[in-house]
Amino acid sequence: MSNQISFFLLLAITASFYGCCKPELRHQFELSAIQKEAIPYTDNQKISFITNSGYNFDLDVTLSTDFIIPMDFERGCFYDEFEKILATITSENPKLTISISSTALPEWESDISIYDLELQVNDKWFYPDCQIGNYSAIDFADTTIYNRHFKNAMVFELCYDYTNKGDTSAIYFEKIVYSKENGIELITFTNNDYYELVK
Amino acid sequence: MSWLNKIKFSVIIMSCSILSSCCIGYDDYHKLLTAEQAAWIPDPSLKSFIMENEYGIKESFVLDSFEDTIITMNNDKCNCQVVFQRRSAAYISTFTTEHHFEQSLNTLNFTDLDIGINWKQQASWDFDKNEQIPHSYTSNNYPNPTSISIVSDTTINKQSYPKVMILKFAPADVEETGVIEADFIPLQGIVYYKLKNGVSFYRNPMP
Repeated sequence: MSNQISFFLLLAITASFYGCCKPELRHQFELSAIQKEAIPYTDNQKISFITNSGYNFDLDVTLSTDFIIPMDFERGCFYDEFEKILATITSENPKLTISISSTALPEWESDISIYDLELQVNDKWFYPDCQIGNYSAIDFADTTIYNRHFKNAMVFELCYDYTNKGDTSAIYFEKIVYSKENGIELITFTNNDYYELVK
Repeated sequence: MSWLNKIKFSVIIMSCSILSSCCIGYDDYHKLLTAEQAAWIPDPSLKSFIMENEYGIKESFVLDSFEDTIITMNNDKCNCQVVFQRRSAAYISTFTTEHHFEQSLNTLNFTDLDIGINWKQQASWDFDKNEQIPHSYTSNNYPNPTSISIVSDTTINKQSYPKVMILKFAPADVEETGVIEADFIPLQGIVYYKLKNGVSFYRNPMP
């Protein structure tokens, strides 16, 4: 009986020490050169797009790099930090807020995805070729789409849209062509409208 | 039926009658929308529409929810019957969930039309008194219009309308990309809005 009490006492003391420890940084994962190159924007850069109807509009770029702690990587007394590069591109007319980011990958994930690019327009998420979860096949390649040739590009698609209930008379985002050299090159819509980067 | 049974039956009928009637001084409430009032909610056959500005920028809105319900309930204390109607439609932008238009009518207490714009602007109109009232959500501090008017025979973007509800907001009350004017027509909802930054959006095509 006294052995059992001692065991539980020891367990409680161990648990209290474990719960009260000050978390320490275990690993800091930095972006690879390839990841940094995949986001070709600079801070305070201005870019221009032209619509299919000939209207030019400017977008402002802000670029930030920071270390983040994903929720899954804060456990007990240790935590891991991941470097993240984020370009935020905004315009007033049309009202666009575009986010492109790449987050450093731990070694055990580097074979799965080398870019870990995330692309969001307003509140819509775009994925390369809608291959969610199959990132190993994703890479930049020379691409011809909509009668245009893009060097080292990826095609991101809006794979799921809550507002799309099959009404063909409504207009939805469709695809985004993103290149290593210029970033977003083309944004297309389901009614064949588009916004194209002015180079 | 014996005279005793007749009395019993009468007592039961009288009791039921008393129990099912309103208290003295209270009445049943029965109020439904007129067709003219109901028309200020877009017809549910309008599944989507497109707004386009002077620069050719288009934004489409899709029907997110529609309700047309007649609600019957009994007042707990007095057993008065309350019957009222609720009719509403909400449209959200396919470009961003920040943009939306919502119109809602209900006849409980009075005939109240509530309008919501982009989740951050709101307006209310009392059809019984034909006047603007403060929106029922007072806790969120979202701006109400400085004026609401229902005008006859108005032309918007070369299209004539027999009746238009025009909401005007003070520019100082709204955000930079907020709406300073919004025009609604019966059955079709919004047909025009102007932003604080000067950009105007019209329905394409005009209904």
